[in-house]
Amino acid sequence: MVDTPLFKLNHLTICQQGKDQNPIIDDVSFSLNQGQRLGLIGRSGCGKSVTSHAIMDILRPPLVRKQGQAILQGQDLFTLSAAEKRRIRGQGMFCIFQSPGSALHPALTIKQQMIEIATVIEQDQTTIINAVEYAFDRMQLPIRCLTQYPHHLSGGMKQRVLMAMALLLKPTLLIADEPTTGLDVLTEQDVLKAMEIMLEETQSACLFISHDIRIVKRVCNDLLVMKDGKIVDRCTRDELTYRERAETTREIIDAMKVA
Amino acid sequence: MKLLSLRATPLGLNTGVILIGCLLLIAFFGESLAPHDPNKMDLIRRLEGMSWTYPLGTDHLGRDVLSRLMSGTFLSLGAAVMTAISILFIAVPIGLISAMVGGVVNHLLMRITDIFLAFPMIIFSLVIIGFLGASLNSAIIGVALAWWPSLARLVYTLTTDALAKDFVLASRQCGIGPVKLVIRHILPQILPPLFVVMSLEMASILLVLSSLSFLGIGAQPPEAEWGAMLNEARPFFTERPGLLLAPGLLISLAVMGFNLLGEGIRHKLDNRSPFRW
Amino acid sequence: MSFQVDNLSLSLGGNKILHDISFTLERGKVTGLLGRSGCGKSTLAKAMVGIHQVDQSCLKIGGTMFQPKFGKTGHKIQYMWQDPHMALSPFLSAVRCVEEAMETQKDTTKKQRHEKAQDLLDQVGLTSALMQKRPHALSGGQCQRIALARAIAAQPEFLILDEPFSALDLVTQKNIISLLGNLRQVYDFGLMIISHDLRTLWRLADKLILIDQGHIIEDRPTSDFIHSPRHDLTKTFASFALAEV
Repeated sequence: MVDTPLFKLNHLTICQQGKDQNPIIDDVSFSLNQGQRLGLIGRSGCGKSVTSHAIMDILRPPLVRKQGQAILQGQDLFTLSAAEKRRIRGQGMFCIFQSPGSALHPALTIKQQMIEIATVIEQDQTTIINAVEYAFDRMQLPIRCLTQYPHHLSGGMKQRVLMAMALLLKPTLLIADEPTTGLDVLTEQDVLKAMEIMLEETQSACLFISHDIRIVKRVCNDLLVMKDGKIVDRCTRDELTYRERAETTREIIDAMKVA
Repeated sequence: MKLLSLRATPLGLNTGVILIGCLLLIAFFGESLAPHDPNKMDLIRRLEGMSWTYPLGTDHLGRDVLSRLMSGTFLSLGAAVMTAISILFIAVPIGLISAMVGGVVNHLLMRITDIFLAFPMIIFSLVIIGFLGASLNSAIIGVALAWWPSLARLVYTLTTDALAKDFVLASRQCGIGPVKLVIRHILPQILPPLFVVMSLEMASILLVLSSLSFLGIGAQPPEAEWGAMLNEARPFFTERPGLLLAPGLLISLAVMGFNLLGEGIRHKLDNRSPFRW
Repeated sequence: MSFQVDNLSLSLGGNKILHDISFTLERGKVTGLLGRSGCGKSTLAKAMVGIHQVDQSCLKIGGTMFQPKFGKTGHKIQYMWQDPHMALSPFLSAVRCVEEAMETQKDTTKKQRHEKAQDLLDQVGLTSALMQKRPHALSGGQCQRIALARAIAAQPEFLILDEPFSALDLVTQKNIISLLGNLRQVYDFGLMIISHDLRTLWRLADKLILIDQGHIIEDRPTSDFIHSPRHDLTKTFASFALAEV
């Protein structure tokens, strides 16, 4: 049996429209297997988030994709029709962004939003309620949060609500784009713990994007280091020693030690 | 959907610019380019159809319609522009002062604005025009006085928003006075959206002024104003529908031009903020 | 010279945010203000510069009563906003921005201010090519440097930095920390740095204050704070600072 990866990004190149300058993302390729957790690190402005946006196919206008394929279980995401893409989003691919505040509907209770999500996988009301409560329990969210609106919750809680959604949907691929940036250190720990549990249970492949190598080291086994839109280094967590690594990697490790 | 996307593309903006550009050219040079004297009557050749001498025919007094339209452009557009300027002259200071000073002044100014807003706009301008006597000037004053409150509200909201920005607070912290603050930090923030709104409002102002002239309480005959021309042509609609259609079409084109221009600029401004990743 | 906060309490919208806060900032020293998000750190800082009104007997500079008035007392105490991109005007170039902060200073000509601004920007490590650029063309770290230069240009006796690191990536954080380390050698202002992350703060601060739910629960020199924490929350924070990296 040939071992094809679950998700594969081939030669992604992104340019700024109308400008003939260097591409913003330059020939980026990587692959993810079932249950693998891949960390993408780099300094801000290096193109981490643009990569994730490209995979979700939500690039904003001045940026255009020049070439590349994103193959999830044999389907190229970039060639799908809008309807097929909608189907893939959710159970195929789930994304947790940096600002959880704008990811939740401000005028619906958490419960309504969770149930809306859950109807994708299940129709029976009692099963849904049970599943939602189970997910909340696993994410250590108090059940009373269900009746509240997003603005009642703190940043960390909102992020864990999103994780609870992922727990319900069990996506094949989970993209987490700086999920702990802007949270305080203690909240960050809670969110990371919740994420650990969620990934354990869903067995999703995870692309974890962050500038903070301390967090990436905790979550991921494999790392990609990005600089100016190029992958400059690939290694596993255990290979992450100071020597023998690319200069950018060394710089990032260095920063961790001082900061 | 198709129409919506048309309004937002550069094509829409270009069409708007071309339309308004042509109208401006006609406004400034129309009078000298016109084939005939717009007010010269020729009672023998009244209500004539299209011909080489009179490309759009003649009206009920035998005046050349094309010449009247061309020379009327300056009056029609000029009236709308004057109204817009008067509105801005009232609305911008009131909105700015209200937002900058705050407190009692803010309450006072905004309540006055609210009182003005409570009147139906068109009736309010009718009252003012009735008071001043029917003429284009009083129509301009009437419309401006009835129109400023909504703009003042907008300026107030934009300014409050602009004042809350971190960089404005940072400048204030360094002791920058209110006048410099407004010129350097507030106006650059509020003028672009205000400009968009104004060019959209221009279309409505043009319509209102034309309507007032059509009702006979704006520009007075024999002034060649588009709305007044419509009014004059009204009794002869069955005989010569072209007499009504020509100024009507021109008003529609001008309105469309301003709308496309405003929409296009808005689209450009929306894309202006540099993207970050 | 010191900035003294005495029994400061503050309510906003009916909620009591700060309860009897008392502490002292010393000139030439770095004080770290630590706490979870939403504990009242920023509110306290904003009260100290006059964005929020507080009772006038609460604040003293060098023993005399100090009533902060936002826009008037910028030469005494300056507050620096968290998001470096938002805190700089998109309409002004870096050097104009720093010049602006000196406009209210008497007996300076435009030329002097321009030169001083260039000096300051040079000091925070901005090349002269970048000085003419506007914020959107600059990175977060560069903007943070400009904001710092502007704050220094106002010549305050005390400077409050609100989460100066949280919007920056780790490498940039490290650079800004070493910049702050250099600046405190040159200027003798009292520096207060607000942060939720002791990992970035503890190498720089002389003293650490921990706030929880509007109360000060620990106020001690850095080494004591980290090595012999008294409260559970202090222990948690300190453990992060010392965790193996």
